[in-house]
Amino acid sequence: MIEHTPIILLVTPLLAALIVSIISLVSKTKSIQKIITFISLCLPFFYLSILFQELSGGVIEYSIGGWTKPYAITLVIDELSFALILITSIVTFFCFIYSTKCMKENSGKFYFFFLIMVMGLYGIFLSGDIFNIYVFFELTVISSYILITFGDERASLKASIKYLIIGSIASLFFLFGVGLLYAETGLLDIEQLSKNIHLIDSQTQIIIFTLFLGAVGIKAAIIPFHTWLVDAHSTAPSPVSAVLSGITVKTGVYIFIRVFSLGFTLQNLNEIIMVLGAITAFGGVIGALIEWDIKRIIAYHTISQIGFIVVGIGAFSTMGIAGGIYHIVNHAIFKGLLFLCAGSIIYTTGTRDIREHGIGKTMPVTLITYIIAVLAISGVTPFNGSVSKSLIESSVLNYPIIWLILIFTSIGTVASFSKILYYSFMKVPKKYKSQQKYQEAPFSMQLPMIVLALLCILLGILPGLWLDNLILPATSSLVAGNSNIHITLIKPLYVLKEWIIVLFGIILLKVIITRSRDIDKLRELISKFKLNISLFLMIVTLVIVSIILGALN
Amino acid sequence: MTSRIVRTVARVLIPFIFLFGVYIIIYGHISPGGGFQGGVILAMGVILIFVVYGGEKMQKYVPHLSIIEILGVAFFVFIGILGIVSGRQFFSNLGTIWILNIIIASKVFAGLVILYLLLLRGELAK
Amino acid sequence: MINGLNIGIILFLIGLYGVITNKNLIKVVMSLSILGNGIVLFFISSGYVKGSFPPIINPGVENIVDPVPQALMLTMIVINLCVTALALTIIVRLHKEFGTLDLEEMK
Repeated sequence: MIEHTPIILLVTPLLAALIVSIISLVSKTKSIQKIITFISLCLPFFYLSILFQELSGGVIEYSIGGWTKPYAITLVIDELSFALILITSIVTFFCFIYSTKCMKENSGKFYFFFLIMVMGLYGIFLSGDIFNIYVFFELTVISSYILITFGDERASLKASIKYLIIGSIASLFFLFGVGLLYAETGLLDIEQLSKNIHLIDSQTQIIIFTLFLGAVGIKAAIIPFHTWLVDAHSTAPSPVSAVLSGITVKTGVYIFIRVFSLGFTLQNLNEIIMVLGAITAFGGVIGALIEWDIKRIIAYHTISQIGFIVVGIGAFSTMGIAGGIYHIVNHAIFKGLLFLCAGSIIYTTGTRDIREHGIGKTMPVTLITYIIAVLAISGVTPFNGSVSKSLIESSVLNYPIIWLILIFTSIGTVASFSKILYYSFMKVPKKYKSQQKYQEAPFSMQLPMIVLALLCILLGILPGLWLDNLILPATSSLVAGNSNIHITLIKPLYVLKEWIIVLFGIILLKVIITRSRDIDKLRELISKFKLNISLFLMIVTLVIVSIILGALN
Repeated sequence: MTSRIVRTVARVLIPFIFLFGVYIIIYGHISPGGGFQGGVILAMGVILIFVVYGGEKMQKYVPHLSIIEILGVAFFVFIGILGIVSGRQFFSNLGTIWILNIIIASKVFAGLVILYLLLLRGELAK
Repeated sequence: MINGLNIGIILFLIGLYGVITNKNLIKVVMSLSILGNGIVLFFISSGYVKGSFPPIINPGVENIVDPVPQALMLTMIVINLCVTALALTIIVRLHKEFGTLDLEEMK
């Protein structure tokens, strides 16, 4: 029975979803649905502990149907997918606990689609076949189109249809790339493809890479392809936003790592990816600095942190890829925490505009966990963001311009979150002074925030827990380099750099508060981008990248 | 859509559509066709009835069709687990592909009919 | 010159042009459907071997067309059906809320 664990991991959310939907058709009690969902989200932790024992003996492979290697659909678990499945189960479990209080009406349908999305996420990280990734990705993304419409009605429908159109184009580009790969090599298995790609001539390799870049760029929200993300993640309900921003956007990056390590033999691929990542990081922060809606600000920060991850992976050295993968894990934790904090603020005050919040000290748990999340995302020392950000920044020291852009991005990050801290928590608007009746959020909403904040601190103090066991072996199987990185807790030079960044961030905040007219004009300008123009820009970017690659090869 | 010509032609065609659909489902594993294709043809036959004769009377069957869909997926996964229990891998070939075809056909049929009935419900409510 | 691969690419480009330049949402969904069908045509005709038989094992048949793309394309047609159905449902809801089918005029 133990060797069937990968498929049991995949089937458990599906069976739980079916049982929940039958019960919601037959009877009206909600507690049985919650208990079944709870059990089915706890069981993966047991399976993962079994899998961790087996993983020390090498890569786990499981073929469906018992067929042999070139014809089979296989499920493959190596250290990279194990790390991502672990963080998926943690984040979805806590977001489910949060949602028991937050989504009261039509909860049967909500749990059904949530469990289907969880099954799709497990399937993406488990599959060893490039077409299987497409199937599970469609499963995830269809259930996320539906889950987004559970938020407030009018805006979420518009966001969902925009996401649907752009996401379908991404999937079709991905499929076309897979079709070209199959027409050239005749293989669909990721391991065997990675040995055979260098046999394709370089013109076709450029077309295949451009198509995959388009697909991955749309899914992972790199800057010319990012226009769906802000609306979709801000109008969704809060636990759904946390899972979407934490995990679903990262599946694009995961597919990118798998495809990128397929061994394309093109020149100067690293520089193009790093430039795209740096533009993404910077553009995301600029977008965040000019908004006043709390969930849109956090959604723009998702774009900029994805830029960090793409820069780290594009550097293609041991420190870069280790930093990138560790930042995926960290970002899932603190972005989930930020969305849950924003959700509890919106639950209490009822508005999303931060100039009308003025909570003050009436919500202490939210305040403390929010401050921990902000310090983690800015990269201050004892928290987990600092480890991954320092790794990424040390891997681009050969390219000083990109290093400077990353430093400016960190300054902007600090400024933007301090803005939320100032307006939402500290400054009390004048008309609300007599209505200070805000209470703390209910306990089942506080518990996930507290646990995620403790995880932030734990992964910052003991980075070796994830790094040595999971991420460095994954890196050494992708990149041939030396894999002895020694991470100590406090390095004086890095601590100095972080506190300089925090200082400049607060100065930038002062500048922003005094100049809000120009900022409003900039926001009007950006909101004029319609769907047609953004799609046209995506195609133009892909054509330019392919022309540049063609000229360099 | 209730002119006399349309009603008469539909009444003649519908049994042949059902027969053809069942033929494609059952011969799916050795000739072109299979579960999904046959299920769509069956659903098209039923939707032809709804278009010609009106679909208000069938609105009360939507929960029953939903239960068919859910039980279909459960049965599908059960056949997969049957592969694990009998000693081989998940979904190994135990001579049960024709059962899978029939399950998928019923599921696709139920899904498409529910889709049409729900969209019709939105139209009738106007 | 006119074989399945080229026509598949041409359909892909026509569908892409349709998605970019249409304002009416239903036309955008139709263009997505054309995109999908172009890819199906490309995939299936990439497995064609000249002068061979359909991939069904009968006695006396040696060389058959590649059956793998056909199975993959069945999956893809089902998934595209689901996405089209979902898109049309959301468009019906949007029309009920806003009264128009143009994404720019919905406020």
